[in-house]
Amino acid sequence: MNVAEFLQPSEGELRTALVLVPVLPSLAVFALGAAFLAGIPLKERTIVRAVSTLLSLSFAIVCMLGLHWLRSPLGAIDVRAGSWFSIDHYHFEVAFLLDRLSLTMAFATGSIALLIARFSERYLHREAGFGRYFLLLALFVAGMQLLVLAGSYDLLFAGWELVGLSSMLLISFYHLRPGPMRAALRAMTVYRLADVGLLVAGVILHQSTGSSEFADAFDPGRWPHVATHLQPGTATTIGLLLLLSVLGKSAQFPLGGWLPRAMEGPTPSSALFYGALSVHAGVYLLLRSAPLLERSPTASLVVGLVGLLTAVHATLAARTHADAKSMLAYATATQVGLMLVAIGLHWWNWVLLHLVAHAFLRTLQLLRAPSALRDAQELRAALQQQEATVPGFGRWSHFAGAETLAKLHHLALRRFLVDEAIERYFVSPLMTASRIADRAEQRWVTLLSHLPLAFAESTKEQAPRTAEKRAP
Amino acid sequence: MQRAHALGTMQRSTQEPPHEALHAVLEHTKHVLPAQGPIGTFVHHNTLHAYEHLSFHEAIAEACELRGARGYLSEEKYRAALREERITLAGIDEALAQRGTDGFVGKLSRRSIERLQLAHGILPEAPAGFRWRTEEQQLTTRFRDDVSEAAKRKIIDGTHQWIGDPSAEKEFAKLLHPRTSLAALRALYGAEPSAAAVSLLWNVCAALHPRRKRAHGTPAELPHRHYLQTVGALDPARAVSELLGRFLSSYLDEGMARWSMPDRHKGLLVSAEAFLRSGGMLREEWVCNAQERLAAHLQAQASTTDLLLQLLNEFDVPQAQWDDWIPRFLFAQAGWSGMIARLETHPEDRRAGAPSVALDAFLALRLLLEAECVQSIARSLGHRGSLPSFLKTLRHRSVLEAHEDGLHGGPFLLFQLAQLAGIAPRELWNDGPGHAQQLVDALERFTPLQRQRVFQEAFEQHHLHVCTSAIEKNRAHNAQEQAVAPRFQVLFCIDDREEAMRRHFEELAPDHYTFGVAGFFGVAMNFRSLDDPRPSALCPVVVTPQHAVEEEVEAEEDKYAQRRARRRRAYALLRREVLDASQSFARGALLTPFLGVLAAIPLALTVFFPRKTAQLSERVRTTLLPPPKTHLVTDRDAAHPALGFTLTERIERVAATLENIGLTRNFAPLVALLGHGASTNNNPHHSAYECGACGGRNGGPNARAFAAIANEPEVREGLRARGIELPNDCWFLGGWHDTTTDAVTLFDTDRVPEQHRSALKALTTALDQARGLSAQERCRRFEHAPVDLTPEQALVHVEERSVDLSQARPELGHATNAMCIVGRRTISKGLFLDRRSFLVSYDPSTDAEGALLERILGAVVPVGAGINLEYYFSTVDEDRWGAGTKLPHNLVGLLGVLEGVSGDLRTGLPRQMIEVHEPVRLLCVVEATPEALLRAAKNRPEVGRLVGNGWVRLVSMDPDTGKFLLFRGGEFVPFQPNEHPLPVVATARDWYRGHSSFLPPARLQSKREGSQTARKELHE
Repeated sequence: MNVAEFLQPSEGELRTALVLVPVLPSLAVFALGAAFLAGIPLKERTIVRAVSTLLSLSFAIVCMLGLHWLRSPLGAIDVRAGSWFSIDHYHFEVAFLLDRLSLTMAFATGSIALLIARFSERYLHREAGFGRYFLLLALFVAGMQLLVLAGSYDLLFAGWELVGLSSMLLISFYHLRPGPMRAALRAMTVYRLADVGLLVAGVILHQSTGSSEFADAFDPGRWPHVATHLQPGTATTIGLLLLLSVLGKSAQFPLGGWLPRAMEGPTPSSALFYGALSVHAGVYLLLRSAPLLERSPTASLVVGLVGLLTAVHATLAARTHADAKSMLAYATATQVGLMLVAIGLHWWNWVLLHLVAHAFLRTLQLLRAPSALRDAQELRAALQQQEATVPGFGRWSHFAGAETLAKLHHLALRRFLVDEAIERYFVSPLMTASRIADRAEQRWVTLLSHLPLAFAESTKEQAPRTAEKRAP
Repeated sequence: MQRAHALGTMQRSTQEPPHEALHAVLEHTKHVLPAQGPIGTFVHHNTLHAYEHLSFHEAIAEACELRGARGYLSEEKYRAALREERITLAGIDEALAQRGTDGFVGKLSRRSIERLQLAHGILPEAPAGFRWRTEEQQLTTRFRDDVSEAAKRKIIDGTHQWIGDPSAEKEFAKLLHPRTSLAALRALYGAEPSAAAVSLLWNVCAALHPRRKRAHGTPAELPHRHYLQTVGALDPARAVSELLGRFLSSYLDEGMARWSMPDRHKGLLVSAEAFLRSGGMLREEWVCNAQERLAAHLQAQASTTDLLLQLLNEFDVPQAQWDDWIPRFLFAQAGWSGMIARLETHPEDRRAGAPSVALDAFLALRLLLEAECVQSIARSLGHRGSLPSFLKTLRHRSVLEAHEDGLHGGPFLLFQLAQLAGIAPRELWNDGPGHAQQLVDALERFTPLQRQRVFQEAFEQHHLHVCTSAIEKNRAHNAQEQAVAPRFQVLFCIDDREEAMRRHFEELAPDHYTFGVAGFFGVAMNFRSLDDPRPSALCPVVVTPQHAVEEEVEAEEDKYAQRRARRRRAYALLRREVLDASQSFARGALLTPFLGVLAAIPLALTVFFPRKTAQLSERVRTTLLPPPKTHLVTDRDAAHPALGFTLTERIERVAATLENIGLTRNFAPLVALLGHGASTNNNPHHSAYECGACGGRNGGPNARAFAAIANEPEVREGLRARGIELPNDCWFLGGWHDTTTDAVTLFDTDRVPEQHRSALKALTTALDQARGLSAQERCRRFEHAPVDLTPEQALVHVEERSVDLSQARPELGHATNAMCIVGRRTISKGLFLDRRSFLVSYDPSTDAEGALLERILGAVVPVGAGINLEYYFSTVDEDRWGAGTKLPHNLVGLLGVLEGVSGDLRTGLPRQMIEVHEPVRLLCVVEATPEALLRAAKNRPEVGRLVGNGWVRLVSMDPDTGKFLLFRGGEFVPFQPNEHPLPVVATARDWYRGHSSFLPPARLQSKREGSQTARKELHE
């Protein structure tokens, strides 16, 4: 078989190849998972070989798909791999979409994941959760590839959830300490809340076009110049719902508080998720939904504003925090916010470039985070600074008085108390309401089932215990 | 050293005025908090330094109780060491004999009970665990796995007789009812004798029901969070620590954040008030309250002490308990508290204009925040009333929690003992409940802490015997060998990591001689290299250098040097700008697309080809920034009035070092000094890998300075006047050995006179061979290194480790340290010591008065003990004394590492440095008489304290007879090592090949005779 033939696969081969991209990493998940469940001790080398081989194969297929796409005359190749299940009027089509956007993302995902796998082999040597780490890494790659190659919101959602799950489990990698567990729980809660947006958006899209596939919802064309026949109102609704899920996944204002707290796992997993890929998943979702946003100036405006707010909030926080990982987390959030601003302005190609370049840059910076001390020492030596120069407020001191800047500094260091505000104005009332509802329900149930009142009394006594949760 | 302020004076009378008492308690607290300074210079020190006035074991008991930490390995780990024969039963017996338990309980000697406890572990179970194990693991019908066959036989046979005895039926009625019946037991015996026997034994134990006696002393007053935990409330310390951690990281930041905290110079409390004030109504209620109280306090300009007294009163802490309560309270954020105490007590570590720190202010701030936080928790729990009344209620509730002593306690302990000791059920039953109770009491008397202590001593005892036996035999062998005229003499640091390098270098030829001397070579100096912005002290931390030395460019190279400085500056500016921009707003957005592409390439290269990438960037660096020729300014002259040493001082420095190591005649034509350093990448703990004798820095400049001084003709004349026969045709060379890559760099080789050129070449070749062999030997411990590496491949492997971004273990540091040999090399030469020993050269024959010994021990013992004990404590409890795994570490404020983003500042050594370490106290074998040693210990109080209190183990080896005396219980007692064979092998590789763990000493077959003839042939 010569190269040309190789790059001109039949429909069936294309389908198989596409399915393999996420399936190969998930094979590693199943194999490792089965071995752990069966209690088979695996050598580090075996684990690494298994995962790296499957990730490399998956990446190789992405590269071949890329070459194939370059040679094809179409801007986008729509591949239906089959139907997962169907009920009445609903068919869950396993559809993939190959275009510039998805291939770029799949390429970045595959290559960065391989880099991280290679890095982690030595970095995590002898760590107690070595196997677990690589299992989660493979799970993440499977999810991320599914997410970026998906041809419909439904399939994308499946990948989205896998990414969220692996993210949460890696934040809590050190599950014996309370800090990582709390951070993981917070991330998961935010994900759960935000993912409702994506789910509902899919449903609405289904309602209005009869399908949640991109190929049906949007007109054919070369991304990003794809039109849609959706009504502007529907487009706005869907766009805003999508934005809700982006707020969670890409840590945007006001749901971004979990990101700086998520840097609890081993450094390479932080790099992979919160520097490189997971944090950009939301940006990808909006890029994918470019036609929707083109159709809805309102949604575009809101996206841009949210991005701007995030960027300003994050850049101020990044300037005031003094630990390497928080600084990088907020620097990342700043740039992701700016990507949203550019999305609001419909600079699609710029955003894609910004995204990929940013992913590589932050990966390098996060992997090198432990070098911060050496870097500072080297800079000081080369600049012949006798003492640590104490940076002031830089250019900002031209714009505001010292007192204002001092206040701003403290506010930024307290992260503008966004989490506290959410706690006070959203979580607390919600919890109180739930508790009231819970008590009311208990009463109703007692009343309706005609149980003696003594039982109701005994349940009442437990109330103070639930109240403890309210403490700070 | 003044920090060893006696903690014993803790019993202060309550009549003392509160202000003074509080001051004293704060001083005491500063000492028990972690003492590690900013991480840029990591100096190994005894983690329990504050307790050095106590004996080692007492200190552990006291410090660990206060901190809630472990002071020894877990019993499980000791038992694993026992299985691997790192601890022997003989060693355990010796340690038990030291403990001095005598007497019998019934037929069992107490000693044998304790031995069983150690060897097998006889531990009680928690009620739930007991239930589970009974149901799931048939605990009461199966023998423990480690019961000997003889014991099983005895129990089964005894059971057989008993249940077959018709006269015993009445006993059984009493014993078995209502659990089971004799008939059932007999039936079970028919089917499964051992199950029946165990079951009967269990029934006997349950019926005897001995009780565990707990010491019910008055428990110490614990900080409130312990009581809050018992009622399931939230931990107030967590919320407060998170808030304070964020504040402190910015307040104490040494230049990491892009915006520094404004108005830091106004002090901790003022800045904290401003920080807490921000956020207005969004803040939590308790933060508001705390801030308002703090503001009121600042407004009133009251003293911090008054605030502290008021808060301690609120927490209802009686004055008598302050010195216990306050450290416990601060341990909730031990890392940051320790850093504050450290910065306060060592202002010299801080840059000019750094914000003020004071532990009392921090304590007040923390107390204030926690007081308000606990109040808010109290409110949320429905408590109305004052803080003290809430805390009283809490304490009351947690004391009520009684321990019920069920079957899982006493009976279960007895049951295990009976199995292991092979006590037949009937015997146990006939001896009655009083006897059973005595057995359990005997078990309980040997507390976990005492068991660990015995284990630790047994561990060390075995090590002592193996090492001394090897030295004894080796000395006898070496005594028969004749010295040959030296060709090369190389002075290394005493560092344990240099042991292999020295051995390999010596094994190459019999006229290779090496010496061990503290790696600053007696040249204590404030050194500033060409690339340093400011000088740093290159000497042990206990010394304050009085002299400054600078690296100076040769006049003709000035042009290049200036160009180099310009380029370095330009590159640094670019780097800083890019780094800054990548984390900023608009510039970040504009630059990222380009930077990202640029980042992807080095990222991929460095992850996949770390060594090649590093070589490439090094090549680029040397091409763009060629290092100019330089020399060190060591002479104080008119041109450099503030630099260098005077002639007398220079002579004094060289003479002292040469005298210390006993090198005063028979000089080789070429004498080299090798300092050492490390090269690691992506590693905040880098400094911990460098030379401890140079204050956690590279000792190369000291070697270079020493060589330059020793080569001066005037200095030589002065030396000769002092009786040091240093001929004029002898040349000194300085250099440094990289302990990570095993590279050897020699300085100023272009200045070597013509006559020594060929010798220099030969020396370089020999050092190259030695470093290859050293790297090869080190690789046996790296799991990622293939087993059969040649020396060249091994060098490639270790070089790759040093530049690999992903390598958390560039080298193993001092992880193998265990011993220190002070004496002539003839006692240790040719001995494979597995890189486990500090090697200090000392010639007792030239030191009649013991003045040299005193000088040497004064430097070596504190440094060696500091390293050894830091490794010890980081190993035995990596959560409290150590820094835990490196992987989530997060550099903060250029001060230290946080664990993740939510954790505390971590002190001590990370797991990746200590995981192969075997925690034994440093065994010092000194070739000196006990009188000389006692004199040295008396004149050097820090040595006396460490030795006298058992922080290091000391063995005197008689210089003439080679007889050992062991220092124990305040005196030297004769000591004869157990017989351990000393294997003889041709090369070190024959001994270590195929092993990755610790190896006992072996003797390398002397090739001296053979190789000497070979070399002669080569020369002719």
